[in-house]
Amino acid sequence: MTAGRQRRAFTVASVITATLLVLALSAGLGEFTAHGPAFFVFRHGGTGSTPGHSTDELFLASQQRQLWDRFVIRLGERRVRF
Amino acid sequence: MAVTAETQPRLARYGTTALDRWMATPFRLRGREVKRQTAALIILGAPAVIPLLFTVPAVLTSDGSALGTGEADTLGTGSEILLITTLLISPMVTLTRQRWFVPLRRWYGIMFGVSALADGIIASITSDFAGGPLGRVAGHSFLLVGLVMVMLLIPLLLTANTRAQHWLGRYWKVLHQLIYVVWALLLVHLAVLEGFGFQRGLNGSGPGPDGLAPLHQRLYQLVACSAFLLMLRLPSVRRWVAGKQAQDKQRVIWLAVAPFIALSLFAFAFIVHEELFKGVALLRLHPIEA
Repeated sequence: MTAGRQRRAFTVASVITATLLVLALSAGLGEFTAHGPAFFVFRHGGTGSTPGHSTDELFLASQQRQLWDRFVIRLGERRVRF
Repeated sequence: MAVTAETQPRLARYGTTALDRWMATPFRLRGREVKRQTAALIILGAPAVIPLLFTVPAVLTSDGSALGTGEADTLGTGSEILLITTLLISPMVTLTRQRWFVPLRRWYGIMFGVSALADGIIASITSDFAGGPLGRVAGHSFLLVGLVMVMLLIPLLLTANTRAQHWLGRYWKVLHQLIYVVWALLLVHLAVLEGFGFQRGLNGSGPGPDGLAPLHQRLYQLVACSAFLLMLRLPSVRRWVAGKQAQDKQRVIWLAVAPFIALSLFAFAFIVHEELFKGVALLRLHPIEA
């Protein structure tokens, strides 16, 4: 009787733990797909660990600049080809 | 020396050392009898609320700027200190054979969970990471590791009471072994938060590399503290300690663990220093940005 109750309580605790874990990982996956792996892994040095003037917005802006530069270069290559 | 039937009676005397017996006796305080253990536990347990106290003025005045700047350092480092002290209790029982301070394990553990939870909640509101509340707690690799840690702490917090212990029975210990997962995740969290101290530009603790990374990086400080905590959890070491205690060779044990204790204290001093330095600044609503 007691063993059954203990097992049930443990099952409930395990389900709660697993649900919370899935919630956290889902949130992470959502952010990963929203901004891409580079933003998820990298950031400006100091952002988050020791607040300063570096922000995520700066990182996103630099990513946008890089994407734009790549786009312009590709366009240039095509022009040469055509 | 292995634990044998001969050494068992001595091991069974855990909890009945001279200091344990002395702690069980009362003393008079303003005409009332107070157990020495109670007084000692209150004195040793009180500092556990300090990380939360540091954030009270900023929370009461809704100072988002101060919280955004100093909260993560104060509550994050405070949580780290509380985890270390929680994990310290079992090795101290192994080393000293005393048990009067064992109730502190639950108290420090609860305060660790509460501080970490508060850290997560305040960070989701005040930090300046992109992506709204969800982005602020899961938008980067280190944030996600922190969020997973906080999520794992919720069931531990909910079951950190005698009634839950009674309901879960032998499974309570199995569930609470999640604390070791949290411990490992904290190392990962600090590694991806600050890097290893030698990076330039991305994922470092600042714009340039840290010249004294092993001393300044919280990752290395935690590794130094963890060495002692981990060592005295190894079954072979515990057997060796029990054997030496059975032979009344307590001095040999202390000599063997002294270097690990010294290293831990050295690293722990840096962590406590940072907590007090940044915590007092946050208490005065002038958080430090470095």
